[in-house]
Formats: sequence, C-alpha cells, structure tokens
Amino acid sequence: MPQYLGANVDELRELAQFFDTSGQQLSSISTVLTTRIMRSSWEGPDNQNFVVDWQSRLAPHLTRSSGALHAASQLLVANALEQEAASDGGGSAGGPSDGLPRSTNPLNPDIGDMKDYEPFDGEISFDPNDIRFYGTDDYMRPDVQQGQLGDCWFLSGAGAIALYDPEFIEEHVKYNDDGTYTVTMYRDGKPVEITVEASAPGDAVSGMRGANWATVYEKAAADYYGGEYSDLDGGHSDDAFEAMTGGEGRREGELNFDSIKDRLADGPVAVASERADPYFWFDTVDEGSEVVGNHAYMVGGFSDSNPETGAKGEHILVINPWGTGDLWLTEQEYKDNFATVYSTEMDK
Amino acid sequence: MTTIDGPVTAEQGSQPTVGGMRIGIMEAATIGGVSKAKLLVRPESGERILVITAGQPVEIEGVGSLSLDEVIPEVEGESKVRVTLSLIA
Repeated sequence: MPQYLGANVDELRELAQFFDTSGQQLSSISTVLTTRIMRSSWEGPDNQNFVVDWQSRLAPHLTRSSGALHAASQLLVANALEQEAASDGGGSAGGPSDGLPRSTNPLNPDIGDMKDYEPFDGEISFDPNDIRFYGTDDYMRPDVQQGQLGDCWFLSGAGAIALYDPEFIEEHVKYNDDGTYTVTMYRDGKPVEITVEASAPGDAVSGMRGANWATVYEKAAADYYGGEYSDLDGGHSDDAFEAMTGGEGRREGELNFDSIKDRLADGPVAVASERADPYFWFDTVDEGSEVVGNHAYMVGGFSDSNPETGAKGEHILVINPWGTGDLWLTEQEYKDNFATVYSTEMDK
Repeated sequence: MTTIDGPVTAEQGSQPTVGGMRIGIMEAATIGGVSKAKLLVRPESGERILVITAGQPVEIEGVGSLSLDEVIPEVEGESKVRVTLSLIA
C-alpha cells in the first residue's frame, strides 16, 4: 500500500491561522464573559461565590485553552516550515528557506509609519557591562527601552539572553570596517548573517544612552522576519530564542516558581502576561495592577523577600522591556497575572 | 487646538514617544462607545500611570496636553488593540 508522507504547506499554514484565530476568539469570549459577570446587577453571597468560581477556576480554564490553541498553531507553522525545507532539499544556510520574504534592502528594512532613519550617535559598545546595564549586582537588568513597535516578545527574548549570557550578544554582533554591523541569527538551527547600517528609525528600541545592542538586533530581526519593522509586531519569545540562539525554544503554560527556576538554571526565560480585563481599570480611578496585559517580560531572578518593599516570602523579578515597570511578585501574584513561560537551553 | 507632536499610532504593549516623552500603552478599550487607555507616562518630572479618555486631554507637567485621539480595535490574527496619541496645545 503506497504511503504519502508529508503535507500541503499552504493547508498547514491555513490550519495554523485558524487555530491561532480560534485561540484569540476564546480569549475574547473570556473577556466578554468576565465583563458581563462583573457588570451584572446580581448581588449577594451566591453572586460572590459565582464570581470567585469564575475567576479562580473557569476563566483560567479558558485562558489555558486559548494558550493551547496558540501553541498548536505554532506547531503547525513549524511543521509547515519543516515541510518546505524538505521540499527544497533542505534549504541552505543563510537563505530564505522558510519562504519568508526578505527585505529588498537588508541594510535598512522598511520602516512603515515609524519616524525616519537617524544615524547612530557613535559606535555601539557590546561590552557585557554595557549590555547588563542597570540594577544591583544580584539583579542586573539589560539596557532595553522598547519603542513604537509591538515587539516585546522579541526584546524580552533578546534581553533574557543578554541577562543569562551577555557575552553571547558580544559574540554574535560584528562591527565592520565600513561602519555596518553584522548580526548572526539562526534559521532552522543554521546561522544566518544579516548586515545592517548604523542607523535606526526614530522610536526604535534604544538604551538609556541612545541606540545600543538592542537597536542593532531589532533592525536585524526586522530583516529576518520579513523585511519590515512592522513584521515584528506580535509574536512569542520562544521564537526569538530560536532565531537568536539556534536552539529549541520552549513554550509552556503557567508554571510554579520551582519549575521556572529549573528553566532559569539552564538558560534564558521570558514570561507573558494574561490579557487584562477592562473591568479592572476602565471605570475606576484606581489604576489597579501595574502588570501590562498581554505583554512579554524577562525573568530576572528570585528573592526570598521583595528587595524593594521588604515584604516577606519568595518573589520573582519580571523585567519589562520598556526599561521601567519591573515588578517583584509573589508566586500567587505571578500566577494571577501570567500565563505563559518561554525558555531555551544555552551553554555559557 | 494645535498639534505639537503626533499623531502616533501604536499597539497595546508598545512604548512610543510623543513630545519627547515615552508612553507605555498598558491597556486600551472601547466600551459603550467610550474609548479609554491606561498609560504609563514617563515625563522628566517622574513617571506615573493614568487612565485617559478620548476627547478629554490630560495635562502632563513639563510636556503639554496629551490627547487620546482614537482606540482602534484589535484585528484578530493581525494586530492587538491600538491607540492614536497626540500632544496638543
């Protein structure tokens, strides 16, 4: 009996899109239901019990299911890429074997509605001390200040790598004699060299002192992911780990502190927050939670107490790629706000 | 009313610069025809979280009057909710 092995790539991509859209719909349904429940005029203990049950049990089920659909979508995309590579005879290192369009000008990817390119103010330092720039010795932060793009997923992935092994960044960016920078990224585990000019759009990512290593990486990533800066709007940090390290990225649902520590011992870790419910901020003067919803953060470490407030109990440091808004959270606070853990294994 | 800088359109979760001030877009939504955004504004005088309503500009010390022009709904599978911000005088 003849066997057919493989897949129709277009069909796989369509299926992936359908899974992804379904996951988002599920998430939207959860938000709508929460809003309806909270705005209901139903009062009394039964209502309170219902709300508690919804928030603690039912809504998280929907969130996890939504995340599972997203993860399945990514798996389908990965299979499509694998199938394409196989059909192309394995592709070639550095080539666009994944079928993604590349920039017509890799040196300067399209900027869309961002402000015009501006040259860097001097040569950029890739000294590990400049990459892990601020904070205390125990809890350094990478010098990253996200700009106009919705690329928290990439910057948190890159920042987490920089935290784990700042020398990795130094080893993967080369300053050329002609004033350009060559960044080594990976596609299907094979190195891809991307050369960019020493300039960036106004409102690109930067550091406290202007353009820095993250600016160069973001520019290279804009070319890597399709040739336009807007190609970086939206994504997952496990993809950033794979693109930057060539290793296998891992995406998991909500983990406890011990499991996150295990991941952090082996490599960089990023986490993504849940979508915030407008109910909790829309009609109140109290601005509520400081966690940005649907946003990727780097994991900076753990402490037996909150170093900023002195509050007792184990806390996790989540670092916002905005360059501000870092948070120390208890395990319960973390679980209340975060739904996804991204990691990869790296050798230092 | 004069626009000093902008309009700038950016996704929830990003951090555009308006009037030289970085603004983190924490949340945004339109409910019952009212559009609002929760922002982390970062003027030199000190950062703070605020909720801004479309059509009701907020004065930011040392920067100017920040206006939420529009909240653009999420497009499933394509983009998160986006906001358009301007600095006006």
